[in-house]
Amino acid sequence: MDVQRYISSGIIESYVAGLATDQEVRDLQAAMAQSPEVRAAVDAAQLDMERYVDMQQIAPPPALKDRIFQLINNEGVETAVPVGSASFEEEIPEEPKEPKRVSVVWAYVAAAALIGLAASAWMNMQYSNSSKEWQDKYQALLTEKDKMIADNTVMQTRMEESQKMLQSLRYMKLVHMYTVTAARPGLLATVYWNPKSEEVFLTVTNLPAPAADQQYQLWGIVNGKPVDAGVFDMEQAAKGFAKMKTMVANAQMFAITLEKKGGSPTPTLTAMYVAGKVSG
Amino acid sequence: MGTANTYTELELVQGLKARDQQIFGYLYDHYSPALYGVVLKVLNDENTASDVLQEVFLKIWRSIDKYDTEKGRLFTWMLNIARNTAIDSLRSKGHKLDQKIQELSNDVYLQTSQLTVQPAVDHLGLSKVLEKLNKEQRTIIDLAYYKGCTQEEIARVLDIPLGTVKTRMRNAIIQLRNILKQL
Repeated sequence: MDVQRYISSGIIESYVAGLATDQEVRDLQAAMAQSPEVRAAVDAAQLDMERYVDMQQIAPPPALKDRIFQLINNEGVETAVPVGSASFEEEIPEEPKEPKRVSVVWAYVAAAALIGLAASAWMNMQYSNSSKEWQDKYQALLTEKDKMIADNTVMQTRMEESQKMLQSLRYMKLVHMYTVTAARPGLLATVYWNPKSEEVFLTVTNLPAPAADQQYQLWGIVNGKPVDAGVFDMEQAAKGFAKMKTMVANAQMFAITLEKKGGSPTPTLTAMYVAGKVSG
Repeated sequence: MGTANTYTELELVQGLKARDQQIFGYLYDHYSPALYGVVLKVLNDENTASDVLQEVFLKIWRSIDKYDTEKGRLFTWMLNIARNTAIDSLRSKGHKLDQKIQELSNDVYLQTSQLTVQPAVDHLGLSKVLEKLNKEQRTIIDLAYYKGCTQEEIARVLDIPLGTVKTRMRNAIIQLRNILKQL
């Protein structure tokens, strides 16, 4: 074997970096056994690699040490118990002069064991109680989270609607509808209408509250004929905007009549409260 | 008991084989940062990394009888356990090659507070090393050591013929050696 060529082939460096294939590892181990030079080269490269790795040390979380010691201590108990008790039994005949002491020791051991057992039972109960408590809290948190997500979705939808409405406001026509009969003075409602998208929103400034079995209904007048634009909820329309049915682009007027709850197919003209012409 | 502050490697090994918990505590205090560094760099996730480090120390404790002083130093043996356990865990998560490259290039644990809160780490000269290794040299070492990549994968990442991967690795480690000598 040409040792120098082997050393400079890069196989040693690949080995210490964990890159060598199984075959290369076997070759290298054979070469190390044969040649002290190869072995020295591997050791040197190994040291370089280890120094590089060691430089990148990071302190582990502080709690981890205790956790590991707890685990190995538990392991210790499991394996020590059978061994320990066997050797203890063997020791008894070797100390025949002090049988009483042994029994006293046993009594202490037994008492300690009982106390330990009781304590462990109590701890278990505590743990299971607190774990139940945590589980409940966790469940409550989950429920709360779901609710928040649902609320958030609602909010988002509303936001999007508002956003869309604000954007369409630029293209909207305002149609003010005023009192049509002297008997009911000072009434006002306004239609925001986008003739392109045919969207209609309504806001009510002043309209008397309808009776429980009645509802106001909005109409568009298209070529002299009333077209239903839907009933609306007074509360919503008085506080903000009620989204109405769409209205075709060639409506010339809007009007509101008071109808039975749920609306009528044709308007009750005697109960027309407000009306307004579309300008331009 | 408890008077010795430092142990030779032989004392450590004998102590561990005798199930001496004080020695195990010493071993943990002295080597856990290096082993955690490896595990964290492989996994790039603190939660999994501390679980894996726990497994590593349990393996050290349980299988110290299998450690053979003839075959290599204790630190090498422990590093191998840490690297292999972490890479096994990484493989079980089915990381893709480009994910590994991604993780190495934005190695949060290297660039952020971790280093600045631990000035001791920088006394070891890491920043100098990282400065002087070029990107290809660092990539080839890190992908092999920390991500367990094969020669084929490295050839693909660096866009070089498979046959030259080993010589590039040799050049990278020689460069590393030269930098380490100057520290």
